[in-house]
Amino acid sequence: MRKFTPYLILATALLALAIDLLPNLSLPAGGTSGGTRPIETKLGLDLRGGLRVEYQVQPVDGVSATAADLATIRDIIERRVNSTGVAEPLVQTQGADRIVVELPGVTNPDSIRALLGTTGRLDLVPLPREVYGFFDTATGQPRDGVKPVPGEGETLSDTSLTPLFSGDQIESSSVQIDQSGRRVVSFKLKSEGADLFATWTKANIGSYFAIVLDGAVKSAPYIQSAITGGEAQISGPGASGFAVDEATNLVTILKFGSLPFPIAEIGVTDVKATLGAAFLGQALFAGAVGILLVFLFMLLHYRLAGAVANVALVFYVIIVLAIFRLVPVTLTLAGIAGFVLSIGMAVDANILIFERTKEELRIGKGIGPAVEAGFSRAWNSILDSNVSSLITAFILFYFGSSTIKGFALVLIIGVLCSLFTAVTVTRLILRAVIVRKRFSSPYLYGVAKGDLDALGRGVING
Amino acid sequence: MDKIIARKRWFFLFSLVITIPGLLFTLATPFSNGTIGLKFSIDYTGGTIWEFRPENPADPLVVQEAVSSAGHEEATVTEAGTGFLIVRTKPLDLQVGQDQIDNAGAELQAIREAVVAAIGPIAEEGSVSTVGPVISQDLTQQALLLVVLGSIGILLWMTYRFRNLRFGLAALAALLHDVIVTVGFFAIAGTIAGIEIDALFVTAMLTIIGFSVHDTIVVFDRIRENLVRHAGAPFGDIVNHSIVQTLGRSFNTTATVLMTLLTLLVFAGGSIRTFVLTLFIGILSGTYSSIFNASPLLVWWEERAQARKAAAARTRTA
Repeated sequence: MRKFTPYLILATALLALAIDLLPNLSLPAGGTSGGTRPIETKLGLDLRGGLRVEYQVQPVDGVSATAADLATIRDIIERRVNSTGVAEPLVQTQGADRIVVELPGVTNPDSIRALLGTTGRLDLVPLPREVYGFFDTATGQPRDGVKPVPGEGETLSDTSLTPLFSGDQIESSSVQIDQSGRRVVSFKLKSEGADLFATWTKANIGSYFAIVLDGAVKSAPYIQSAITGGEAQISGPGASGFAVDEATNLVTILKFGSLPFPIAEIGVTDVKATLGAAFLGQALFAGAVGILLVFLFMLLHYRLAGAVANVALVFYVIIVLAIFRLVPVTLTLAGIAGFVLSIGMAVDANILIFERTKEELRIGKGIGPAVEAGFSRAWNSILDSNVSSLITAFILFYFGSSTIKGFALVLIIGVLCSLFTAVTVTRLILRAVIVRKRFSSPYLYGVAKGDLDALGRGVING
Repeated sequence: MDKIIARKRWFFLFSLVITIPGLLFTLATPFSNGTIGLKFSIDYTGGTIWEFRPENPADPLVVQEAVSSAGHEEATVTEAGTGFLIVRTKPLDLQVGQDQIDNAGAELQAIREAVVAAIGPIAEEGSVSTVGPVISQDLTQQALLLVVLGSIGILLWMTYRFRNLRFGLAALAALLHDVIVTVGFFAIAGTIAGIEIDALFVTAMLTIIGFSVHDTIVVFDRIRENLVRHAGAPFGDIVNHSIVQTLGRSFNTTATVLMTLLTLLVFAGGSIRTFVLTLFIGILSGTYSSIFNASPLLVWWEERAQARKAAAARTRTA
């Protein structure tokens, strides 16, 4: 087994390097959908810009949404999102009543928020003549009732009113321009709804009815003639009708149905892409400088051994980045900080080993035994301290919100990989190096000149 | 170097000196109505942050007046350094399902118009972030839960690995020291410089907890090893020897980690500056507490136990 280890490590490095650098690689996508997904470095919204909205599902009349309802809501929202054409949307449920939507590169956040957040329950409510009056077709004059006909935006306060039918009877809808040039949303009813509508309109010519969306009246026209074809339209406010955004949003909502429970925004973040790009550049630069400083430090402090540790560190960076792309881990600003921090942790193992090796060298051991002792004696500390980091990282991963989870995942991957690279890879290279005579001076492993002289005279003996 | 244990009282005293002021500031937080102690970001308090860069440099006070005239007297406006201004208000525009379909962003739009009327056009929009009361409540509970769980996790792990509750408790004490120092630092920084702690603060706290215990583990491991090798030697001498032996490693590790954090602090911007600063303070404190608190605490404990045993023996012989 030991004979193959170098080749195995080399193969891992090459594979990781290929994953890091080759463009257009893809993996079979998980789940039932099949297909493939591209291997790429995923950036969080704080680095690429975009809209993130967190929703809480609201109970209705004391009844809370079940897990199935939550899934239904998620599906409907996802379909609404997809209809907007935003690339790479993410719609997830979180906990018992949360839905998180992440949309990279959105330029019209307000319109999208309006589309996603609307419950979308459409009701057609007949307004009884005795109360709201009617339009007298014989005289061409409206007859006032006890109450005024509700206008656009008002809510129907009268609880005795029941809808004739609701949005689920709508088969299709589209944006159209009516005869007077106003933008309207027209819809076609399914046969059951069409029959109901035909029967009711035939018997109630002149009566008013209200088209109500999520409790607010959109329009309240009167019946001019029996509507038997199952087609009708909602006219928007103002002289030109609906705004374009509003009309297309309404069509989308009618198309995918209403949410079984209303949802409320509890948090919204909108980052402009330029700002994200600036942060990414700064963070990458800072990370690179940090890594270079660590390289220099190791080289100056532990000399040859430090150079070996640096090779292992390069190896570490290659592998971790490949895993980030494979999983994929969504990198945020905090995630990049976590990665830079994990580099500090990765060299910690090497520092432990080399300090121990130095101690063994100082008491007069040869290079070979000193290095082996360095590894075996430092192992306990390395394992214990990495486990302690894993404990806190797992707690963060399990209990944290999604930003925290990303950071924790970076730490977990970093700690696990560093155990491999800092110990296995470093040991492998060092073993190959120390057998060469010209690499056998303790000076090359960081022992100070003064200690060396003392060692030569046999003064130091621990 | 050979007197670390002998001088342990001084090191404990130093820890008191660096923990107590911060602790006082922290404890004053709930009673001072936001003037003294930790400053919480909108992640905890709920609210909206809007960042933008005006075409012409503008006085934050003028902007504040404009926002206030748009109906938001609670607003505060600060400068972000790169020409950006930051407006903080109560949560804006959170849509509830019953809202109408077309009014998302209306409140912010009103504020934006008022600002443009006062100081001219906006050159660049940065980000808008709104946190409602539901999330902020979640976070506050989550913060406490995470720190408590992290501490318990480390206590159990240390006790298990060293088969000794004292090692676990000493590590826990060092770790709480770091939590208190870090929180205290931000309580003071919040009072003096208005530095806010955000959702990432807790993440940093837990990372510190996991990381600061590294140094403790390395020293404790060495103590365990030396206890076998130098069986019979006084416990205090063994601990002191172990600390000195591992000092090089502790300093070098801390140096590399702090170096990387420092580059992030200097070059990286945005939301992680406070995060990185938190890690920096915590890890610095972690190295100190591991060397000068955790191990001396073990000795103090052992000496007390022996003194009690000796006293018991005296009463028996008497």
